[in-house]
Amino acid sequence: MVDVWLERILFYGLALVTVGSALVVTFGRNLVRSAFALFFTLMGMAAMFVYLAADFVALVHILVYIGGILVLILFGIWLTHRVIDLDIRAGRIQLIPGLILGLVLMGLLGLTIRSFNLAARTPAPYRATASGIGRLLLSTYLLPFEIASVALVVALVGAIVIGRRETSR
Amino acid sequence: MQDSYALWMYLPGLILFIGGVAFVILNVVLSHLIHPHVRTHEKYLAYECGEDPIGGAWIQFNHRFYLLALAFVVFDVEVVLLFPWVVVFREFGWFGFIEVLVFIAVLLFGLAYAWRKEALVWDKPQPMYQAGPVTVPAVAQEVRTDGASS
Repeated sequence: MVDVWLERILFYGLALVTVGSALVVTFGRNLVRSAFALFFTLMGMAAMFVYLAADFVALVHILVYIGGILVLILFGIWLTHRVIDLDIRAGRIQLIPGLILGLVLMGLLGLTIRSFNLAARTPAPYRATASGIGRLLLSTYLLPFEIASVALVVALVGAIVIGRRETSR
Repeated sequence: MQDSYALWMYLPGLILFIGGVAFVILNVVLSHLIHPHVRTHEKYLAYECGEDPIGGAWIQFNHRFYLLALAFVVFDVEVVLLFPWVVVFREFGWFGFIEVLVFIAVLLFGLAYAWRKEALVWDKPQPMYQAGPVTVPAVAQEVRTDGASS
């Protein structure tokens, strides 16, 4: 019983960190500060994946999003000339469309969540998912697995093509 | 090897994370609390024969960093996709090995392309000086001839 309560307290603490840092990302004035706040958001999301019994997704999330994408975002900020001094909060130019889009998205998410009868479902058992994913990747989903490498090469070649154009000036 | 685990097995990771964050915050706050607060003009100058800084510390990075970071993300994802294979490596044997070889070969093509297009070459800063024989300024030559004549 104590275990359940501690788990619950931890969950709400992590959720608070995730949502709070996400708010800092959105409303922060300093781009670099926003990027570093994004680290805590992504870390909290990885913890949510752990709670959802998706340990492999949590690992991928930390490796790719925190180790890769976040570094890419920081480089993007530091590479941009004189962007640090700018106050980059989005103005209220698109307040009405933004509100509508946000509400529609929230409604869609709410409908999706409501369509599942969460109370009737037993929570997924915590078991290591990597081996199961490996078995499926090498048999049933072999083609998507190989196509993923092609997609990665496309991303790399595209990045080089765009990056080269920058250097040739 | 057991497949099932309890949520509590992640607790050391959480403690490590909180400990790391707390360590940084604690040290910054502690040093702010105990360091002497004497602010004189001299303390903000460069020490002795140190160089005076030009401009701010927020300089524009070499744009090569971005391309390298992008290449890193691509191979990061590759490594992540290899993890599930490693776990079931023994079950699939040579069949799985060849599948993964094809996967890596496609990505090696991307690496070869990056190499061929010189995307991995670092942009070196252009030297500002001219190589060649040293020319003595006219003023210095005058001084020398003066010294030789006297």
